[in-house]
Amino acid sequence: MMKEDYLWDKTGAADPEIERLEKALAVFRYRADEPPALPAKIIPFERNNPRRFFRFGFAFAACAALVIISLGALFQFSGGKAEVAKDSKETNPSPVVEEVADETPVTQPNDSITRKVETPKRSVERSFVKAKKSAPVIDRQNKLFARNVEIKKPAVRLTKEEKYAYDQLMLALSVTSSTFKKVKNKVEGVEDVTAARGKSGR
Amino acid sequence: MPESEMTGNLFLFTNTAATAPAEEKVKAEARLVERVCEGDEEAFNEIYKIFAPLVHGIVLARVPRDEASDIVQEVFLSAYKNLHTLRDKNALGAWLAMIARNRATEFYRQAKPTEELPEEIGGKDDSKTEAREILTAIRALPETYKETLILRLVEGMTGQEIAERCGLTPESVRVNLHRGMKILRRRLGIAE
Repeated sequence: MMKEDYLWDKTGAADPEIERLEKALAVFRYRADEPPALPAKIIPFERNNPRRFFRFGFAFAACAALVIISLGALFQFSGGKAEVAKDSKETNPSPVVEEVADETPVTQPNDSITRKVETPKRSVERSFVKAKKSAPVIDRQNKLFARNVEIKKPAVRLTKEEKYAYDQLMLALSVTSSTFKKVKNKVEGVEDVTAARGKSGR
Repeated sequence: MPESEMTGNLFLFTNTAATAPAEEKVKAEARLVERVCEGDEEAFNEIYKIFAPLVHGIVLARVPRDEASDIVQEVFLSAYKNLHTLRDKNALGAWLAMIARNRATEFYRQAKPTEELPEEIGGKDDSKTEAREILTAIRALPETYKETLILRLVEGMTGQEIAERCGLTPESVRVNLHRGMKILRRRLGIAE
């Protein structure tokens, strides 16, 4: 029993044979040395991910598109209202109606291009003329149809608020396009043209 | 006395009072593992101090003596890299023992065939020669016995320590020690 105790936890009477074995084998005992040199921790370097640019660009484009659609819808509604107002005014002629009639582009018999009517320009009238400039080319034969089209298309008379909104939209679009251009250049690694010019100038 | 009866008697020696401190030790080791996972290198040094003899003993039971210390370092390095994969943080000793066994097996898989120099080449030392003979006899024992005996006789660990660090029950360690010692005595020609 005692011998077994010694083998188990070195208590009790020592077994001489086990002691001899222990002494002999002590030469192979582990000698405490330094723990292994631990590997350095690698901290991942955060790079500018091109995908992130695309993500932001896409989100920005979606926002811009949303703004454009909502403003378009707003104009559409306001245009419809103007048409209704015009229809109602046609029944009761007023000076405004005459003015609009004067400003309607005249289609010449030999000239298919709508001419710009020169009238004293106010801010509201100017926008109206611009809208007319982009009207489709009207043939003489389809004059009647063209007239109808022109009549159906109401003159967009922008109020101050609408004009402001329009200007803001244009500004937003220009900012968006310039931002997109910058993002595109950055992603493609194209050097900024102005910077390149500056360098070459030096 | 038949061996089965002896084993039954040996179970009576189980120290039940020692289980509470053993649990505390296990918890302390789990805390060390958590600290290492948080990036505390000092905690890893503590783990090394505690478990290096265990790993050395397990490796020494399988590979040549000269290679043992290198493999111990490799085992701890591998453990450090993979410590986050350890699911049961209380089973650190058993996990390290498993890595050590795998590394020892890998050593023989990768090692090129070599021929050992004769022992007399460095001058004859009787004590060392005897030690080598005993070690060779222990290595020839079955797997479970040789590990336990090397940890007890070479590394000087008690049966309780072996059980705690290897994640074994004290009863099985006691049986392994007793049976292994019996076979070793017979092989070395020592009277019981």
